[in-house]
Amino acid sequence: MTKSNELLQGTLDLLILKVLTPGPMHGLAIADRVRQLSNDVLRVNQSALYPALHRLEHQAWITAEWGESENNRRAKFYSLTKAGRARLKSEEASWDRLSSAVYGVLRSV
Amino acid sequence: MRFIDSLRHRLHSLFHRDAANAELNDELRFHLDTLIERNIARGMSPRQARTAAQKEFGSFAEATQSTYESRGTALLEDLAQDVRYGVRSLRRQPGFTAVTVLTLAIGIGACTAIFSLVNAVLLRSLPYGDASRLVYLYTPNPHLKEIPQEATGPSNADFFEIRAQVRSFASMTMFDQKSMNLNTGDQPERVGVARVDSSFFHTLEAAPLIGREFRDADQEPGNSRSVVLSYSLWQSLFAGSDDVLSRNITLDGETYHVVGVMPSGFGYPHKTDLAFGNGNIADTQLWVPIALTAQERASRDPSSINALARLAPGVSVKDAQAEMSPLVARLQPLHHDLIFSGGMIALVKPLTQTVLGGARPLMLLLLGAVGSVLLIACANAANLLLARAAGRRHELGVRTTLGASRGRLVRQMLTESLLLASAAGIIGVGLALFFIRALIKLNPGNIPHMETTSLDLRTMVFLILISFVTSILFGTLPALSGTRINVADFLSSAGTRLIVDRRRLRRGLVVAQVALVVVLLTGAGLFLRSYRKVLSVQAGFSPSTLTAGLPVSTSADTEDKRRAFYASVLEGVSSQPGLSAAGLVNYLPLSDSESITTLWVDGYPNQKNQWVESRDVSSGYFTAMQIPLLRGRYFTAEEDTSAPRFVVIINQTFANTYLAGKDPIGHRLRTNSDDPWATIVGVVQDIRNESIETAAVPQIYTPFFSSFAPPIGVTVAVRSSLPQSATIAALRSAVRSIDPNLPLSHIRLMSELTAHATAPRRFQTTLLSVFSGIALFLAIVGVYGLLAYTVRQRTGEIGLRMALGSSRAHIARLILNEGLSLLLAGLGIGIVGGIAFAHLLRSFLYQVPALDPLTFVLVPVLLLIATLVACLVPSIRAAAIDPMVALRHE
Repeated sequence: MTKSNELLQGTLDLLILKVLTPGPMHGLAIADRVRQLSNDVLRVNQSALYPALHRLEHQAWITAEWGESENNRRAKFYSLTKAGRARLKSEEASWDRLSSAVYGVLRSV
Repeated sequence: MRFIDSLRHRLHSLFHRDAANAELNDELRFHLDTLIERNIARGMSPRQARTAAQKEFGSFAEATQSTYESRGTALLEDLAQDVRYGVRSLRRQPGFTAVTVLTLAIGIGACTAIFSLVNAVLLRSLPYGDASRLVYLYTPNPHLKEIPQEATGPSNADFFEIRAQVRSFASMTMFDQKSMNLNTGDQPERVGVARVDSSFFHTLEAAPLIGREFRDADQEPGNSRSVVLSYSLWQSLFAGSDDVLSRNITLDGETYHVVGVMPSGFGYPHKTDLAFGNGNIADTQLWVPIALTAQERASRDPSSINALARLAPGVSVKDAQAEMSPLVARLQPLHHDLIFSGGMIALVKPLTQTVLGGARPLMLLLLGAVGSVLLIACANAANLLLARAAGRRHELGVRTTLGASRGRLVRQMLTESLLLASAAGIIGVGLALFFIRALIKLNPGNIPHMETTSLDLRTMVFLILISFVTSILFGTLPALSGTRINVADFLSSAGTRLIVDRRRLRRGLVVAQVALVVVLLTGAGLFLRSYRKVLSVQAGFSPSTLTAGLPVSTSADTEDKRRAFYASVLEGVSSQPGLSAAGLVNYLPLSDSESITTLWVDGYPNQKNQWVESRDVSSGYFTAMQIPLLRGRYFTAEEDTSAPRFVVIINQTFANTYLAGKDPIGHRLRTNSDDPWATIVGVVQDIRNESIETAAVPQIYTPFFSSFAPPIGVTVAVRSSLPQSATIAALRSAVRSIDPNLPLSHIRLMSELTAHATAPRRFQTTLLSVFSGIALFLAIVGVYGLLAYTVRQRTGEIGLRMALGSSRAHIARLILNEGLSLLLAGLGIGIVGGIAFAHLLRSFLYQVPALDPLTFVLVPVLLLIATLVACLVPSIRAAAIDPMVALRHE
C-alpha cells in the first residue's frame, strides 16, 4: 500500500474521501494527490487503490462517472456523495481522537 | 437508502459482470497509459517509459483480481460461473451424465421411499395427543408362562379401584373390542366396534370433528344407545352430510343415535395398536358406550377389557409402576379365581412400545439395506467421476498453469457433483413416489400405520439432505484426487504416478462395492431360504376350503335358542346343492386367535398350570377342512346337536406328548377339575392353528355343543365342487333363509389365510431381494465401468504387448485377471461382513441357520457369474484391439 510502512486499516479510504472533497477526480489523480500531499511518503499502489475505490462505491460513499481527462482520454471520475461527506466527517473525528491519543502516549514516556 | 444503493450496485455488477470487467480494464488502462505518457514527456524512450510505468503501477492482473474481489460478489459470481461451466461440461458427456444421474436417482429414490415408510411407522407421531405419555395397564400372573403378560387386563372391579386410588395417571379409560352387525341398507355388514367408557376420547386427547364425546350419562345401562362414527363411515353411510347428528344407525338390530364423528385418520384401536387385539378387526369404525351394570362393575373375573392411561405430568412409567404394584398386591386376595390371579402383578407398558416395538427391527433393517444401496450408488458415481477426472487431466492442468488455485478447482468439481446429485434428487422424487406406491401394495398388514406412507415435508427435507450428502460422498474423493496436479509434472507430461494412484482408489471403491453387495445378497439369500421353508410348510388343512364369519342371530338370546340356531345353520348349509361338507369352529386356524385351557390327563403325572390349546368344532369341521383322521373317529352328527357329550378329539402332538406309547382312543382327559372326564374318540393330524411358522402344539377339539355356553359368532367352513362365486351365493342363501339380517364377514379361502399369514415374510423378503438386486446391478455396472476404462487407458500398452508377440488370449486374460482379483478381494471381505450380517438377522429367519451353507455357496457363485459377464466384455474388447491403431493412439 505504501512504500514501506503499513497504513492502518481504513486509512486509505479516509485519504481517498479527503482528497475527493474539492471535486471529482480520476484514479491516477487521486494517487498523485495523496503522494503530493504526503510529501511523497504515501505511494498508493494500484492494486490497493482500485479495490478501495470500488469498495467505497459499493458503500455508496462515492459515485463514479466517465469523463474526459486533461490529456483528452476517457477516464473514470469519482466524486463524494452526501453519505460520503458524512462518513468523512466521522472518520476524521475518530482519526483525530486516535492520533492525539497515540501522540499523548508517545509523548508521556 | 444507502443500503439499497449499495445493494443495487452489487447486483448491477453481478449481472453485468462482463461490462463491469470491461470498465475496470479501461480504467486501469487509462491509468497505465497516462503514466507512460508522462514518462515519455519526461524524456524517456517509449520502451523505458513503459517499463518504468509498469514498475510503478504494479501487476495489472493483481489489481484486476483484488478489485474484482472487493466487489463482494466474487463467491456468487464464481458459483454462477461454476454452474454454467459444469452444466456445459456435463452436457458434453451425455452418456456419463445419464449413467451417473440414474444410478444416484435409484439410490436416492429407494432411500427416500424407505425413509417415508419409517417416517409413517416410527417417526410421525401417533394421532393420540402426546402418544409417548400413554400406557397400557395389565395385571398378569407371571407364573402362567403360557399366557403372554400383555393378554391379561385388569378385572372390571380392579380397574375402578386403580382409577380411584392411583395418582400417577392424569386420565384412565377402559374399552373392549367387538364386531357388530351394521345395517347399511342392502347387505348387513360386520364392523369393528370399540365399547368405551366416557373418558376414552379424553384420555386419547382426540376430540370429535362433529358433535361430542360420550358423557357419563351415556353409559347408564338402558341409556347407552349413542354412537360415535369414524370419518370413513360418515362418508360412506351418510355421504358426509351435515345433519349426521340427527341420524340413527342400526347395530345388531338396535337403533343407535349418532352423537359425534371422529376426524379422518382416527381409528383407535387399530389391529396393531393392541398387543392382543381382535384379529378380525383391522381398525375401529364405531364407538359405543361400554355401559356396565352394577354387577359387572363389581366383577373380579378375568375380563377382556383393555386399560389405557395417560401419565400425569412429570410421572415416568417407572413411577407409575411403583405406585401400581403395592395396590395390585393388595387387590389380589379379593380374587377367587386363583389360576389367573394367584401371584398377580402390575405391569405398566408404554403404548408406543406395543404399537411400534415389533416393527422397529424390520424398519432398521430396511433402512440399513437401502442405505447400502445408496452407498454402492455413491461408489459408482465416484468411480465414474474419477475416470472423468483422469480424462480431464489436460483441462485441469491448463487451468492450474494459468494460476487457478487447487481450492478453486475442487470447488468447481464439487459444484458439478452437486449438479449431478440435484438432477438425481429430482428424478429421485418420481422414483420415490413410484416405490412408495409399490410398497403400499405390498402392505403385509402387520406394520402399524403403513398405509399412511407418503412424501410429506419431512421426507422431502430428507431427500434434499441425502442428495446433498451424497454429492459430498461421491464428489470429494474425485475432486481431491483429480486436482492433485503438479504443474511441472503436467508440463513434462509425466503424470504416470498420478494415474497409478487414482487407479488404486478406483479399485478400492469397486472392492468395497462388491463387498457390500455380498453382504446384502447374503441377507436376501437367507430371507429367501426362510420364505421357501415357510411356503413349504404343510398347514394340514385344504387350501380350497371356503370360510366365512357368521354372527349369532339377535333373536337367539338364550343358550337353547343358540344351539337351535347353529343346528339350523348346519342343516341349511348342508342342504344346499353343491356344498359337500360344512363345519363350524369357534376360532379358525391362522386367524390370530388362540384359545387355551387348563388340562388334566387321566393317568398322567399332571403338573400344576398345565395348558392345552382347545377349539370347539362341529362334526363336519374335519371333513370340510380335510384334516385327516389318524385313529378312531370324527364326532358324529348326533354329538353336534344333543345335550353335552363328553367326547374329545386330540391331535398327533397331544398323543405323542401325553400318551406316548399308548393307544389314545378311550383315554380320558378334562379341562376343569370339576368336570366329568371326557373320552378321547379320535386322533387327527397336526395342523397349523396359531401361525404358519409356529409348530403344532398339543391340541384338543371338543364338540361344538358340549360347551355349556355355545360361542357367540363362529366361522363356517364349507367344501364344494362349485365355482367360488356359486359357493358363496349358496352359503348366503342358506344363511338368508334362517335370518335375512345376518351378515357374512371375512369370506375367504383357507389359501388366502395362508397367504395372509405369510405376507409379513413375503414383504421383508421381497424388499431385501429387490435391494440386493439393485445393488448387484449397480456393482456390475461399477466393475464393467472400471475395466472398460482400464482397457481404454492401457490401449497403447496393449498394442505394444501385441506388437511384441502377446496372443489375443493372453491379453484377454490380462484384463480378466484384473477384474477377477478385484472380485475375489471384494468377495472375501463381503463374506466376513455377510457372516456378521447373518448373525444380526437371526431373529428374522425361519428354520434356516444363520450360516446356511447353501446361501454361503450360492451367493459367491451368483456374484461371480454376474460379474464375469461384466468382465468379459472389456476383456474381449481388449483382445480385439488392432495393435497398429493402438500404437498410433499413443
